[in-house]
Amino acid sequence: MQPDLTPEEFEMVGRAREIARRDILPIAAERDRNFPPDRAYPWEITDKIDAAGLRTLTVPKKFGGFGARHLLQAMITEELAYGDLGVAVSLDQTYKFTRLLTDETTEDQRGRYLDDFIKDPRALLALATTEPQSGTDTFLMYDAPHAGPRMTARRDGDSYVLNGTKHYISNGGLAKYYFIFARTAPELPMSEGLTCFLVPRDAPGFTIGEAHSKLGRRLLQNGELVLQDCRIPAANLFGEWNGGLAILRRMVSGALIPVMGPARLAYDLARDAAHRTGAFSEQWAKMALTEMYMLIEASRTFLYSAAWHGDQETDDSKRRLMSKVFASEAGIKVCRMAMDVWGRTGDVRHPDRPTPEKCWRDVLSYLHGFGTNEAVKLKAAPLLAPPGEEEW
Amino acid sequence: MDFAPDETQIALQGMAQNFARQEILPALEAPGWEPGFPADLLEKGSRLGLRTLALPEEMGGGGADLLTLCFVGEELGWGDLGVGATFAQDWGVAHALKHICEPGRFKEFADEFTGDHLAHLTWAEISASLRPEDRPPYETNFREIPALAERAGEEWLVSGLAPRVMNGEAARRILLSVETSDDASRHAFFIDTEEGKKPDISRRFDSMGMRTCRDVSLSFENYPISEQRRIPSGAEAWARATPAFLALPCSAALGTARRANELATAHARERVQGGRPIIEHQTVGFMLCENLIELGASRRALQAAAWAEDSGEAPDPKEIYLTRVFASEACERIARRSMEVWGGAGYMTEAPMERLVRDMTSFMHSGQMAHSLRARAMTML
Repeated sequence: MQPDLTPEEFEMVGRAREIARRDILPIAAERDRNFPPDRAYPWEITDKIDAAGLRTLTVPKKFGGFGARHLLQAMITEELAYGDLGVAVSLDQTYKFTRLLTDETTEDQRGRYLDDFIKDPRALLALATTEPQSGTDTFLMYDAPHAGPRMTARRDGDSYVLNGTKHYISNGGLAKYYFIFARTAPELPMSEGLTCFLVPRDAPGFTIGEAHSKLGRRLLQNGELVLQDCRIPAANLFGEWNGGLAILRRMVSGALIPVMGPARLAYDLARDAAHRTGAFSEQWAKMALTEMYMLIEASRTFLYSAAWHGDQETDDSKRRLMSKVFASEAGIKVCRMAMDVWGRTGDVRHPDRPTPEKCWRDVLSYLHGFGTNEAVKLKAAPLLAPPGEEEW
Repeated sequence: MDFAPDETQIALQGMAQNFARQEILPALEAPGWEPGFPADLLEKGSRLGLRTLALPEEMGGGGADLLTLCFVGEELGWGDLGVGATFAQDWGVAHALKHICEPGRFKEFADEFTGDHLAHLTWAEISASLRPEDRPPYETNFREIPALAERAGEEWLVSGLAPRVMNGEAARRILLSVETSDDASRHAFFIDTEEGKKPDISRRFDSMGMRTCRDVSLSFENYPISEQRRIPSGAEAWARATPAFLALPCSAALGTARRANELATAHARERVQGGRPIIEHQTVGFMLCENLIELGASRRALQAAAWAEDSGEAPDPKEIYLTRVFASEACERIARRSMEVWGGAGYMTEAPMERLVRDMTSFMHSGQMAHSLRARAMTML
């Protein structure tokens, strides 16, 4: 599927593709392998992404950005993910939460933070809900007093004071601004006592704890956020007091995961290897490559369709949820098949060249990333049409 | 068929499980442990009799049959797949020697390594023609060496490439099977890498998993082997040894998958989401049920293959090949599913789950590859 793009959009996709192949792919293997989690992120790549106008992709044109629609966002992140999934996710997070910064902030907040975000070439964004005791609870919005985030926030004069710990946060330690969810009425369920705050990286009492070491997606920093009497101005309340769940509902209602980037790379590596080693003369390898192609094409079509629907006002996000499950499973299968086509060296790491095993380790992150696949299916189920109503 | 372990088997199982719990896990999951061949750990296991378990008792071994070895291998693989596979290689080679050597020669060979606790064994195959999977995709100057074994006076000169030899760097004896390129006849040699010339290591496998093994490619070019180390047996005898080569490492893989499932189940009991332990949610409970289905079926399939071999029935080679395919693929799925039950925590390197997933996936590349076994089996349909 090659969606209709405007010439400007087409050019942006081309820029992302060029950066992925020219700048990201050549450095990804070494960073994946040798760099500690808190130093693996390639900031110099962000500079290039920013210079190409891609960091502010989803900032509306009226604020000086490109104003990308969901479809373009999905295509750009897929291209970046061909170079490295971790780098793409750091941008994907930023693209998603840019919409919060531009559409749901007060004028005062935009004045203080949006301008800086646009001007700072290394400004990234993050959203933090996951805590050691709550992951799927929050994702599925289990609305009971004991469920969901435990982090607390209280008003103290002209400030809010936050206490608690988040973990596994994508861009945790990389982002300049964080949307952080905390309990403002801990005795009540999330629907009545959860609030979102805009927390700058340099807020007093805000530190980055552990940078988590992961199986894959190792260029992306997933960090622990430790807030100890973290003090932010009262003006940094984001949205309504005790109205956090509504924001969360919008933010976790649909993803457009860039998992087809590494799947495409794995396919390319497998196809080239099959011709080089002679495997392509065997029927099993031909069948494998054909199946990989089918899975990639079906996943991209589903993702792009979900993205297109995401740009329509009537969208209910179920396609975005379902496409996450479908594409992640397909991506894992594609990368695993690519490893098989690579034969006895399919599980072998390379010091500085791309390998299908890295692709596979990276895409496995989407078994849990953006909700476990089983939880995502549960989240999508209520959005199915009721009995007797046409679904399509 | 009765696969219920007898008293001796239960005792051996218990000994292996204790070794896994008290020695393997504390050593390999200690903070700061650097992945590599764990010689000290393996020596401890050898002193318990694990290394020589497959040798007859009169040769100083444990006299275990294949079914018993499957029980023990699963327990060792529960601790670590690489460690389990290392002992499984020892057992496989001992089992093969028993079948392809005449008894006197078998004893002479066994005497060489029974007393040396670090004398691990492995086996390697040189095929007349390399398969595509044996060619590394990134090496443009990859050089193939025609397979050859020819007599030169009192010794043999062997040439060829053994593409991936499990533990080939650490093993002190290699049972080498050479299928010659000229007449496709097969020769077997039992190489002593301590006394004789060491084979050239043409590649070290920097694998993502099973990092307690040292897999290598071995190159032989006019490699001299004395006539005394030749085992006069042909392709038929080598085929007779194959079930042990395929089933025993797979029993270790079964142990790894079992541990992944146990960790997943324990986590699911403890982790509360949605107001109750996640094991009570169908999303998770069904995955754990699937794990049990595949664990049980794989274990039974492996045990049936081992039992058939032990009972002296001529095993159907294709059944062995396909059992290995089924069990190894099932174990890989179990590990991955278990990681999914752990959610984000399963993906972090501080927890054991991601290592189990890496190990299981490397296992699929370290031994015989599934498509290769299917390709062999289909010729026997």
